[in-house]
Amino acid sequence: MKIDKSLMSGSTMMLILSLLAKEEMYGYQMITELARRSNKTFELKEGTLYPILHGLEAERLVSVREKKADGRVRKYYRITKKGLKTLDTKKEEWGVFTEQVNAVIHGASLA
Amino acid sequence: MRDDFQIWVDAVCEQVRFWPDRKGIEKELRVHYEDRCRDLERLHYERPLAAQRSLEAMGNAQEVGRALDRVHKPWLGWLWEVSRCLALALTVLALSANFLTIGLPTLAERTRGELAWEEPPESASRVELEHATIWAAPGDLREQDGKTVAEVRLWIKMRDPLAANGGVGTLFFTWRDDKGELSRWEFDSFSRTGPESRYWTYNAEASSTGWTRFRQTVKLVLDGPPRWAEASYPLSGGDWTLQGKWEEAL
Repeated sequence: MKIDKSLMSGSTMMLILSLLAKEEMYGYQMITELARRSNKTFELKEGTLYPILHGLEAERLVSVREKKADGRVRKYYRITKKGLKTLDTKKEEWGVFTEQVNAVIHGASLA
Repeated sequence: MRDDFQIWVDAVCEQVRFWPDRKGIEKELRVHYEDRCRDLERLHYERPLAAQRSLEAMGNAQEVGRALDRVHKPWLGWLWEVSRCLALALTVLALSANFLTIGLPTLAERTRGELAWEEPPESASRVELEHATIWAAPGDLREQDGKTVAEVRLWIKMRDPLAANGGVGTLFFTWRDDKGELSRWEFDSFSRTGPESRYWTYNAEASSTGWTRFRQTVKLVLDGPPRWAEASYPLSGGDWTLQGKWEEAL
């Protein structure tokens, strides 16, 4: 099922950091991995990944190195300690957010 | 003729005002696009169709470009470039200044020392110190203003870099001859007289920047011809002496 782009926009950063939490990856690899893990639910316009990655790099949440593989030089992104901390915070926020959304849409009440 | 991807990526890069980053952006996007094309070709897509699909997957060039421009801020980019150039210029300046004021004279001194180096004679007295090996042998004796000037020739081989005290070492040599302790000596252009002159201070720090070996001469100013003269190192508690004997020659 394709989902509304606006639902994804707030969580893209968290998704990318989650992908990088296990291993370093290059851009195309992230796109394919994201599609695979989400059963093709999350399919970004591929060019839009790079502004996000470059932003994460500027904030030092990821670091970059160039590596030659299959005869071509690729930029590999790796999550930093700061990135891991940010990911934890984002996950926590996400947990609270989904819990509250579920509470509202399923009609639960605190009262 | 530009292919479709080149048109797309040019449109992306045009949006990025900080132009020094454009090349890197283009390279990264191109590798991504080619990866996608290869994957589709592996799935038996014809090359033109694979290229078309891959380009469609990249998204809107204007949107991607504008988003990249927001990250690659021109003022931040130029600030970074300027600070990098400034740091580089300062480093070069510091190294040049250091080389001109210390490195070059030291190099010249070292070369001079190397060229003038001759092995000490077999008969030379020798001492092994922590940061140098020193040989001494008697040199010329001559009369001057009613005094005798006895030259002691020294061969000094420094450790490089010096092991002692992180490269700093001072030797306090006391000179004496067969008649007692000396109160006047000259060391090349440097001389001392009076009660403080008991110690010949040899500051290894000044020589630690690369002199490996060199020769020098100590001139001892005496009342008469000595049979021998020796240097010792009383402050260290060491029991070594460097001795020059003239008695055979006299």
